[in-house]
Amino acid sequence: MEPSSKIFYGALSLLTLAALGAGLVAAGAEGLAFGLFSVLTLGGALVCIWERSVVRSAFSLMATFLGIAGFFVLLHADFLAMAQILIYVGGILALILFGVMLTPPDLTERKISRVLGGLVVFGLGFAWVGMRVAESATWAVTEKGPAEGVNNAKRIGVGFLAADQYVVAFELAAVVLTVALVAAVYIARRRRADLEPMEGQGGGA
Amino acid sequence: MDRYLADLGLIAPELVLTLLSLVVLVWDLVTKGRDSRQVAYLSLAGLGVVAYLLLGQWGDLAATGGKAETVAFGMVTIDAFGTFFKLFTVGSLAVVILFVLADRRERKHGIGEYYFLLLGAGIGVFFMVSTNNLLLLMLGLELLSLASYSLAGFHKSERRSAEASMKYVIFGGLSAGIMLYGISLLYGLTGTIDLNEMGIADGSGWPVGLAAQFAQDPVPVAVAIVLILAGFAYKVSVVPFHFWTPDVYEGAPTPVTTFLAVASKAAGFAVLLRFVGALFLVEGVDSTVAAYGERIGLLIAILAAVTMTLGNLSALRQTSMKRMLAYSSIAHAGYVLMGLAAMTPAGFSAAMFYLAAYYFMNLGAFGFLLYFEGVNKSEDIDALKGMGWKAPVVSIVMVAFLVSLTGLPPTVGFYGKLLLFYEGVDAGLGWLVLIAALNSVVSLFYYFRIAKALFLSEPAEREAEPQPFFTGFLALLGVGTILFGIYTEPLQNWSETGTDSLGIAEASE
Repeated sequence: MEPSSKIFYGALSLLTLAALGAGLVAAGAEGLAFGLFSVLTLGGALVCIWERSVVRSAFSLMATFLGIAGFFVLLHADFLAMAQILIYVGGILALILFGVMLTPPDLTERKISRVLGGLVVFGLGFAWVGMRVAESATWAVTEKGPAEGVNNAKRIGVGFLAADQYVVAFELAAVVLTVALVAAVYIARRRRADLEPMEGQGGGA
Repeated sequence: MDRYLADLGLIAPELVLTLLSLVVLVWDLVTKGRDSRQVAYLSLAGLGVVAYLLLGQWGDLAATGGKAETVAFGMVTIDAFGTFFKLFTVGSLAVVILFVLADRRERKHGIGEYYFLLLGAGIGVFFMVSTNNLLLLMLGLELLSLASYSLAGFHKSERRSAEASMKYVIFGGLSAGIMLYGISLLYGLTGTIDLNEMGIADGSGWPVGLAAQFAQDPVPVAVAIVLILAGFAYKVSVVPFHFWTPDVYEGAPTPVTTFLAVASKAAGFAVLLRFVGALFLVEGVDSTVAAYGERIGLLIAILAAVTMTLGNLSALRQTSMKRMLAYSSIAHAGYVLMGLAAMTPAGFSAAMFYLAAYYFMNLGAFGFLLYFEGVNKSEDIDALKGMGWKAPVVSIVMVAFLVSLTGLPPTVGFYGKLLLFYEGVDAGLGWLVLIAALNSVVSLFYYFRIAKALFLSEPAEREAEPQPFFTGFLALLGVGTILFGIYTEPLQNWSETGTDSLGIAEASE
């Protein structure tokens, strides 16, 4: 392990302990869970951009996805939590790994230092704004909160398909995916005609 | 059930467009892409049907003064404002498809995806300009963006096309993330994703709305709104979110550049107008919210001034015509923002008029660029030297577009700018109008470099082989540019009907 990586992982471990401790002191068991999920989410993301190997980056993304699923559980969004694991951990991550296996690994060079200053300034600025918002915002919360025995999956299903709720958005999402798929296939396919130079092709208009 | 069918009827143009894109895709598969021109003709025919449906809808809406607001499926707002932009989108899609057909550097077979992706982007525009619902808006915007990313890299064997696509994806993804963050904050604060409810709610019941939040602590709401505006600013390439524009416009195939610079940008403006209008200016809006609206107006005015100045000054230095037009489109974004900064119904309809003018003159200017790319195999302005005598009709028409882009009579660009200036002064933005006027003078220099290269040099040695179809088509756009500049009434009526349907209150003082 290089020295820079040692410092990175050392700092990450210390921050993890600090976050867990702070969560436990502030809000007991739920705080501990919140701290754990925060560490998973943020730490996973940091490791993802730190590591040079794409495979390691992909696996650290798994931590991020699991952390977010944890937040959904804390928010009583059981359906979203399961969908998050099913789709992101089970689907997207597997896809990324397949993609890594099928492409030549040439991402050995790390050029993060060039933009590091900008990233840190941007990140700190964003964090400052986020904290300012978080401490002064009064969130719009319904009085009811998540009721006992409410079937979230059922509510989401009805919301997607009922004519006066989200049916258009649901169907439009299908169109978005179709277009994205066709676009991806076009970009990825290797047909000789696509790779010929464009100059001097074709006849008159 | 009746309601369901009626709602389906309301979104018939969108449905037909979606169906058309799928038919195009399947047709291309079945014919194995042997002759992609068939696919283009099919798309054009389908767009004709969509335009017919939209015109019918426009007739119904205009009969009620554009005010009859109908919401289909609880999300899609059918009003004159949206239909106005949809009509122009269909028009520019058809023009872009004709450009692809006329592009001599483009292959003639195996490019069915080109048309499918263009139509897909069109579907995105259709939904984003006709909704007050932030979820649908975001989906439409993403559909447009995804299609645009891949279209920018359509010539994937060309390095700069691939690079354009990559840059567009990265910056686009970042801006979409920022915008989504803003939307989620706004939802968390107001308890709704419907723009109308946000603006009007007085905070006594549910949803909470903007007024109560502004009264309590303006910072979180302001942050949310600024983040969302940043996302829009990226889409319409307003400084400081413009840096992707020249590279992407230059690298993308020219018909795609045309689409991005014209249809995509105008759609971004449509959404921006609707967003600001619905939150701050709509009839019955809370006075606290309206007061903050004025500050947003000032912010937009400053951005407008910076955008037009930077766009024009950068355009001066360009040697490539494609890059120059990219910077010129940034400058024009600044002009349109002027109408928005006025924060009055008249200012909004002036912005709509200018956008309509923008469709004509920029479709024309990019068409001219495409024509001479085919002739010269180069985008340099120097390569145009003396070509005016070899292709006189196209070149004379181009002069008309240039006059319009500069904002001189008797063109539609002149009248549009006049309206914007007038409404700007009326709203007390004299300083901004002064900057815009100075900018127009600056733009004269670079626009007329093209005219000078065409006509004020020795006739070129090379011959331009005639392309009667393309020439006639550009001439038609040129006629439109001048005709609508002389008979301004129809366009003006349409933009006013469109603005009326947004339900913006007259200035309160």
